[in-house]
Amino acid sequence: MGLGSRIAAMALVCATLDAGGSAGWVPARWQGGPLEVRRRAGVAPSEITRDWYNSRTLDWLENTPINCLLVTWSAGAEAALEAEQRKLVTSYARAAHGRGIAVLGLLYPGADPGPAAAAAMEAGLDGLVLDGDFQDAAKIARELRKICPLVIPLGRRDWLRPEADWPVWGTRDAVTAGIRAVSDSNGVYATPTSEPWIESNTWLVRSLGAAGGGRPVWLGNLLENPSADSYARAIADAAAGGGRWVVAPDDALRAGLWRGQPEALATWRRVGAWLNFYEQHAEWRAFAPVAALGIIQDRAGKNSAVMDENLNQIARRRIPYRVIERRELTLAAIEGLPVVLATGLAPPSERERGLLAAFAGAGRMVVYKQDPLDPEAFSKDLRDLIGSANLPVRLYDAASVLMQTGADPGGRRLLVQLVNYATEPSERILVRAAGDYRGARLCSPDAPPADLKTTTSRGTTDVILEKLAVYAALVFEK
Amino acid sequence: MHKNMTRRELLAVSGLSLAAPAPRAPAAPVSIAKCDGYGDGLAAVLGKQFDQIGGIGKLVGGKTVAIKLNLTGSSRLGTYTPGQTHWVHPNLVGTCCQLLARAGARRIRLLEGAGRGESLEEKMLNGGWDVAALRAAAPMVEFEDTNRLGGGKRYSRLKVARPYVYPAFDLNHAYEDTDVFVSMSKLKHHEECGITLTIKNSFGITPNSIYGDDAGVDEPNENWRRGREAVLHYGKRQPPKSAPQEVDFIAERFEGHRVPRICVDLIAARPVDLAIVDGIECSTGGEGPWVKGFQYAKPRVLIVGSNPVCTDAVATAVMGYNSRAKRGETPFHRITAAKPGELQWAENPMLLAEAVGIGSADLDRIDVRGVPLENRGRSTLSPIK
Repeated sequence: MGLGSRIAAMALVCATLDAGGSAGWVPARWQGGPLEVRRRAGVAPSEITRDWYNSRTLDWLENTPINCLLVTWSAGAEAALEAEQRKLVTSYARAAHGRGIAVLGLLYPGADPGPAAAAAMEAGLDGLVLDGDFQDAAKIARELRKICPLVIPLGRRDWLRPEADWPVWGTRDAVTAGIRAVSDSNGVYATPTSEPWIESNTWLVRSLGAAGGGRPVWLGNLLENPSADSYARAIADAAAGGGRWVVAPDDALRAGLWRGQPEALATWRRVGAWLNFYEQHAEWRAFAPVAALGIIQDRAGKNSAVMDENLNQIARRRIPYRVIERRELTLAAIEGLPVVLATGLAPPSERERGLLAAFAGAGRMVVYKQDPLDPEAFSKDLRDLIGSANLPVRLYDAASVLMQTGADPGGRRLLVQLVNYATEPSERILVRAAGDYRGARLCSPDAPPADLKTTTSRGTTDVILEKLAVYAALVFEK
Repeated sequence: MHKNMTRRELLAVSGLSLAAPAPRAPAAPVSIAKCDGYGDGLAAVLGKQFDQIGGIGKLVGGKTVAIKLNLTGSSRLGTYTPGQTHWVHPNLVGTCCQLLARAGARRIRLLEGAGRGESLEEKMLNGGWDVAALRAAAPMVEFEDTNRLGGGKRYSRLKVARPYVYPAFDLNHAYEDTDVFVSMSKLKHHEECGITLTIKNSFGITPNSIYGDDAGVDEPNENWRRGREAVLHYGKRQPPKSAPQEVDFIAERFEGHRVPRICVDLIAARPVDLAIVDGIECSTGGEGPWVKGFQYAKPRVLIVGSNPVCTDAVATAVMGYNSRAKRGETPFHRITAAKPGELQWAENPMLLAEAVGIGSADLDRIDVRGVPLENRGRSTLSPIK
């Protein structure tokens, strides 16, 4: 078989693998080898990085759902070094496949796409990942796809356009989930009415999920000085929106695992437990958002940056919302919503104008402004406009906590996912759900499920969550 | 209440008596108590203090009692609850409600301005309060957000007999529709005015709908968004034409001059019948965590009196300061660094109130009961050991 035929056959295998693959992939950055040592000279412990592609690093994946490794593949180094890296990874990928683990090759800026893709196919990799700041990523992806159909982006958000047809909508344009300190008095507050400045990606995951038409969403950001809770929070922050954080152990954790340090092993076990939790509750990803607001988005529109910040700020105001992709805007898509935010339509087409006109009235509102507004002030105004009494779920005494709400297809179960972004636990959070529920169950990666006491009054059901360290899910049942 | 007089008339008459040259300001007993925390012993301590100032049975029996709480801002210091630092503590509020009910109060209304888009109960819930427990603390406990018109059909106009800045205020009805007015404040500093006690607590009775910076030119703005800086702090604009305007439009605009005077006008318009200063747990360095240098403190002290000026004079001494200090003298000045060229002084509101006959700030005239007052002149917040 000639090289061309072999590549074509491998491309077919690659495509076949993905047909049932990428949606179920639980990815991790697993960089190593001599090329990675060169790439990160002076940053990472070189002997650990060099020797990373060793069967013992595959052993650490047991008892975790991680089934997709992102390995160092090409960075445009000299031919001998690239060849040495490929040889090492080829052998490692074979071992990984033997354990049912997919392997994706990381291409860094500087890599020559064509030869790197051909070599990846020959090595039996399952696909390629563009990691970093490539110029004209769409063009490179098109070239790569001629050889390997499965190319995943982990670069800038603006690569993610519907026409790019990525199988996974990934980006490293994400933040370390947590609270940003804005003053020096214990941290985080600046004015009498200010709330902590929460850094979250959940809004982004939801936005990309809607724009990608349900394709998997991966966040490929690295954490800054992570603690064990930081890993848990990164996993939860992405999972609460239905996406996945590409697990990225930092150098300290990798070194600790390599040396068998108990603390590192405990952190890694916890990472595995948290990933397992979300895979065990994969059905939650199909829950429909329970919303008081519909937000029409057009990620290719002229106000997309402002729209992103609107989504972020509105989430921080704890207004449950549903993202509606512009191309999917129909009356059915916004049915049941009291308010629709249409600033993403700039300007609306005649069809959209007519549709929104038909929706508005009888207590339903459409909010539209052609010129962008200050997202922070605007989000506060929106909350006033909707009125806190009209929110399907409200949180009290939870300034560092954000929530995602959803309901099962039958509407019998209300899911409220809570992520605490502060390093300190949040205590005695009151969760008030609109409607009468007969019970509520607490689910968490760190403890067995437990029933919570509910109190119903005037058409609402209250639950007190005594302590929230990082994440909890409340399932209200009718 | 006097027969055949409305509450409004009664308030007006009490103001008229001040229209004459100011009489010697009255003095009333003030109780100081040590109290280790907000737990089980609190009711006994507070009840004893009520007895020490002459009892509350006659004051509240069969009456409606309104309690203005101090719940400023919505943020918190680290892991402390707001009630441990810059808000009054919910257990103190609940205990007070229980004691008032036990003394015969017919209805209790908890009053404070809530934030935009939230009710007072929601503000409390966001501060970690058990609102249901508060509601159950007495047979009839109500909540009113006084930053708006609220449950009233119109604003109540309460007059100031000897005004410094405003001749009258338009306030939420709950400040008029009550027989007894209780001020419950926190023992703490204030960034611009030095201290925040009973007198300053009344600043918060002004509705943002009228005294907020985005109030209407002609009418209140029930959908207010902004605080009271331009109207009250700096006098850069007037409240809506529907409300009483300042008595002197060209007087000093500096907040250290204006805010203490406006607070005194307010306690003249809506006299305080019972003052409770919560210093069991509190703070130093400002009125809230947004002030640089704000810190937690635990002086373990409660101060109770029937005259707001006397009560504040004692509380000021408990904080370690001279209650008769002149403007600019500690603590009556800005407590954080001022910008170059910015004024730093603040008036002593107790002397202003004394000058218009509301109460005495002279410790030699005040009968201090309970724990003796010691360590006068110290400049730390927790002189009570």
